[in-house]
Amino acid sequence: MVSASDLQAVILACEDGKRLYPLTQDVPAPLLPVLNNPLLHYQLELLEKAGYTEALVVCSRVTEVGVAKYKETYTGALTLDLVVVNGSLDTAEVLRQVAGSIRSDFLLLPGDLVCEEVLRDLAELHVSKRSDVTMVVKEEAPVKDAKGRKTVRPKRDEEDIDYVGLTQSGRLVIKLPKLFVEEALRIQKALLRRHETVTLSTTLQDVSVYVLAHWVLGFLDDQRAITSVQNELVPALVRRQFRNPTTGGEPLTKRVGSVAGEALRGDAMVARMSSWRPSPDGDTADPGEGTPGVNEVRCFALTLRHGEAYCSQAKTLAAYCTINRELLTMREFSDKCPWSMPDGFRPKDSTLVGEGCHLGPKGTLKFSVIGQACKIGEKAKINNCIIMDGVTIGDKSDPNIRYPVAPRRNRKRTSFEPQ
Amino acid sequence: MPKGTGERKGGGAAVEEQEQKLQAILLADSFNTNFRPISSDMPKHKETKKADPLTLMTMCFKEVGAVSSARPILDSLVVGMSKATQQIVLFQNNMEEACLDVNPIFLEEHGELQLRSDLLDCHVDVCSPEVLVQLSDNFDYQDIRQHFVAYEAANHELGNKILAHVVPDAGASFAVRVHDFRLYHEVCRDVILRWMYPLVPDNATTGGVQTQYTYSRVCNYKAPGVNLPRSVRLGNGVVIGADVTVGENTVIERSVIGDGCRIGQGVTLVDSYMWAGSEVGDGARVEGAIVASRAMTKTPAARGGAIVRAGAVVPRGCVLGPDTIVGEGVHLAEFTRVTSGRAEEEDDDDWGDGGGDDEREDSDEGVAPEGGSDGGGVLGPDGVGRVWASEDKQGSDWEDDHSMDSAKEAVDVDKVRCESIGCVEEEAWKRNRWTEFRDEEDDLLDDRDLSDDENGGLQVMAAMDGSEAFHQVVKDMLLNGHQEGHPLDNLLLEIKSYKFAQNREFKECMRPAVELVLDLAGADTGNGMALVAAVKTQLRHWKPLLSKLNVEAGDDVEMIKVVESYALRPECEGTLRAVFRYVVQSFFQEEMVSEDCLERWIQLRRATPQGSPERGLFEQKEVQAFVAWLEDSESSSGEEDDDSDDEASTEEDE
Repeated sequence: MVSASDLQAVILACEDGKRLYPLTQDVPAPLLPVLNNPLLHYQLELLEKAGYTEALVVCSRVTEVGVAKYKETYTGALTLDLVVVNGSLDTAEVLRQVAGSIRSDFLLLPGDLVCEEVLRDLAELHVSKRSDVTMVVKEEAPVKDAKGRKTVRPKRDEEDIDYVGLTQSGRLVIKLPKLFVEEALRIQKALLRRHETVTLSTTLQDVSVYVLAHWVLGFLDDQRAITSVQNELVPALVRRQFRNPTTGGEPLTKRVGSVAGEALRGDAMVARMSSWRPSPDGDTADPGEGTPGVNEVRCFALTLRHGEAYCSQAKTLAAYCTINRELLTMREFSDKCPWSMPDGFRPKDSTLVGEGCHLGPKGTLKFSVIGQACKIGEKAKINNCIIMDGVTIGDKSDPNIRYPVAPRRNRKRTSFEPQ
Repeated sequence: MPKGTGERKGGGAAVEEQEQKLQAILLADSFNTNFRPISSDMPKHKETKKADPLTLMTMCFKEVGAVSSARPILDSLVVGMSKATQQIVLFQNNMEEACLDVNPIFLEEHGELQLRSDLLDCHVDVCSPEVLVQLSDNFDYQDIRQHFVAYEAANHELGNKILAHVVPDAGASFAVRVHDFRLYHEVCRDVILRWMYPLVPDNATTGGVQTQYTYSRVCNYKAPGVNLPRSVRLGNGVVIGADVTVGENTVIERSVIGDGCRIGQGVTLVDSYMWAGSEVGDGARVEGAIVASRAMTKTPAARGGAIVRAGAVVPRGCVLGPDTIVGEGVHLAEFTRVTSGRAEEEDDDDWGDGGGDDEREDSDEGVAPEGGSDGGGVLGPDGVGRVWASEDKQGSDWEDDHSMDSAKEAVDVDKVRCESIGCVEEEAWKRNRWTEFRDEEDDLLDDRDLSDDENGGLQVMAAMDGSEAFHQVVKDMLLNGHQEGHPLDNLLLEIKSYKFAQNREFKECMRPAVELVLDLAGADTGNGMALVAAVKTQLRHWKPLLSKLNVEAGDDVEMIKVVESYALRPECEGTLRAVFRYVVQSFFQEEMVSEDCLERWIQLRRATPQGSPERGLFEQKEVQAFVAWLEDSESSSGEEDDDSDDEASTEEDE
């Protein structure tokens, strides 16, 4: 049996967090607090629980200081290996830079992920299907509409929407960012010949968790134009899957670099003997399950159904707030909360209060997170808020705004004047 | 099959009004089933219709697999439907198209779409009355499947909905259309092998003559009272009707023989169907053919069974119509269809399925008088009937499956063969169709092609071409502007905007600009100091523009490299190459390039391997002298200002 820790873990803690601005003005995105723990904490905890012993944390010049500081205080079981990349780069460019530090098939986690245990399933899928690219897709949770009556599909930013095509066996056959499709999504009948039923959806969300084969790094090196893992590399590999190596131009050679990788794919040599094309009468079986040809690319996706395991990415301000709120709710039923959280939770308020806070009398707190060493004045109402460390909130102030806001992290002491 | 297929006979597609008078079910005339879409679908359709008045139709599909033999060969149906509501959003059955286009609107709307190639269209539709309105309103809807369904399903704006009802493969139900002779054969096999229970030979009922067949080993069925000589060999799956006589030493395999047939001695009958009252003479071979008659008539005399005379060979795919005779010893070609009727009087009732085919026949050649022989041609001197010529079918009055006509033009298969028994080549062709992926898939990403994986080599070439084109355009811009006397500022603006549009760097604009300067100075024709002077003049003119292009430190080395490569062109051997040093020097004097830049260039060329053309140029005596002077002036005093440099170099010039 393969354990998840056979894969090398790479955390991309180098995002600039543009979409979380202005929160990320002072704090780099991977260190934004979620329930008073930095986001990075959740990824590390995830890896620890999956049995990893080390992790490669990739930071940029911007995040470097913060991450290094966090590493000093980190007490977990993982050996952290910090790599710094230059410039503000997209994911694939980052990978290209750190390729030298990656020795085998690897697991790629984004720095803004909060996720429950999925790594074992993911690793198992990766190995058992002899996959080259294995990713996690999350089914979007239906939400109530404005009037709270009907359930509707949640709104997502256009750039986060992908067209994902899956076969019944979980093979990923289509992945295209919505923004790349202009008029029509063109699908070859050859695909449907091989996989008779393809489910094409927009409801599945890519959470940027990938297991990639080691040879992908070499591929990335050849394809200099690829800048993003999510939008370009994975779609390119998905399309590559069915190309006939004999006609589709230059055949792609999988360069298997690592010993572990070779052990995993030892029987690929045997597979070389079998023809690449599915047998003509393989009409009933899903040929995707057959023995892969030696240079055939295989992509699979692990689908997280709604309510199965918690998995969310703090990509936008809204998502960040939602994660805080959802984790608070989980915290309320602390036996259900898979994460270790700092103390200070007050179930009656559904609020987490950080250490060293000074709360004034007669204030109300609801569904909020309050950072460390905050001063909250008399009769303040705090509802649905995220308040970061060291914030002062004046007497009788009411930062109770319909949409939860996070007051800026306060070294400069933002305060709400009493009304 | 003469008996028991439960085949529905109707003239063309029938719209049967059900007792509700509200909904209608459309059944294709050749539909063969034992499942009950009618009873199970009607209420469901009504319910949906109530909930959503825009529901037009519910179509029945059967899961069979993409390359199932139950599919007509020229059928490649792909159905796209919403996973949640079963609404059909894409209906494509076109053998020509290797791709399908999914409209993203539907994806947005339904969230999850299923694209299925494993469905067989049963041609059973539960229709709302609106369908009739639609059909009469849109008179260009000639064909229900190809026009009406395909168009209405893809029409998002009008919002009409067509739903799918999928009959799972796993269930006990069976649904296939006997669409052509090949499928007739397939369905008969299935019935005989009891895959269609309860429609099986031993309790099938038609005609009312008698219905009790006795079953014996390997799926053979015999009507009571049939006695076969001992020497007759029966293979698997043979059905023999009442009053059949069979001669000695005859071999029968996988065939169905109707009531009252006569089969001679030493006959080989394989994969064939003899309808009631037909005859095969001694020693004949019939393999994969249908020997027809008017099987359903009451009196044997009126049947007009076809006759294959002794010693004749009727190979695969042949169809012999009623009242035809294949003469003694005649060898028919494969896939020959023989008819006795004249084109106009063609009566399709007896053709089982091929009604449409016959009607379309209007060939003027080979029209023989009824019952006459075709002049001893194909059918032999004692033959009766004529060969049905399929080439001339122009009829487009098919109720359905227009796709097949259009497909035939594009795909290199004969449609008639595709619809005949034993067309193994076509079956293989079908199996191998669309097993390969086309690379055009990359069109998806249009201009993002570069990011695509294709082959690195091509990519580089494309990039090269791109920059070549870019250079040419910039050069043309500058040249035109220069000739028309535009101010340099305007020219600069022009190439700048082009540069941004093409996402290029300033460095890349440098090459065309410098080349233009050299062109204008006549670098490939002039010689000696005159050339150097011309270059200087041009440089003075272009200086404001060139210096603006020179934005980043180090870009000026590019300028010298351009001069270098220009000098190395074969046509410049006696011209620019000879005075290369002086041209470089004038660039320096005109402050186009800095001292630093020249140093960098010198470093670069010293590191260039011996023997390369650039190194050769660098090794020129004059160039070396220039280099020495440069380094000398540098080391002698850092404070030496530009003026003295200029003086020094002017001296050199003289």
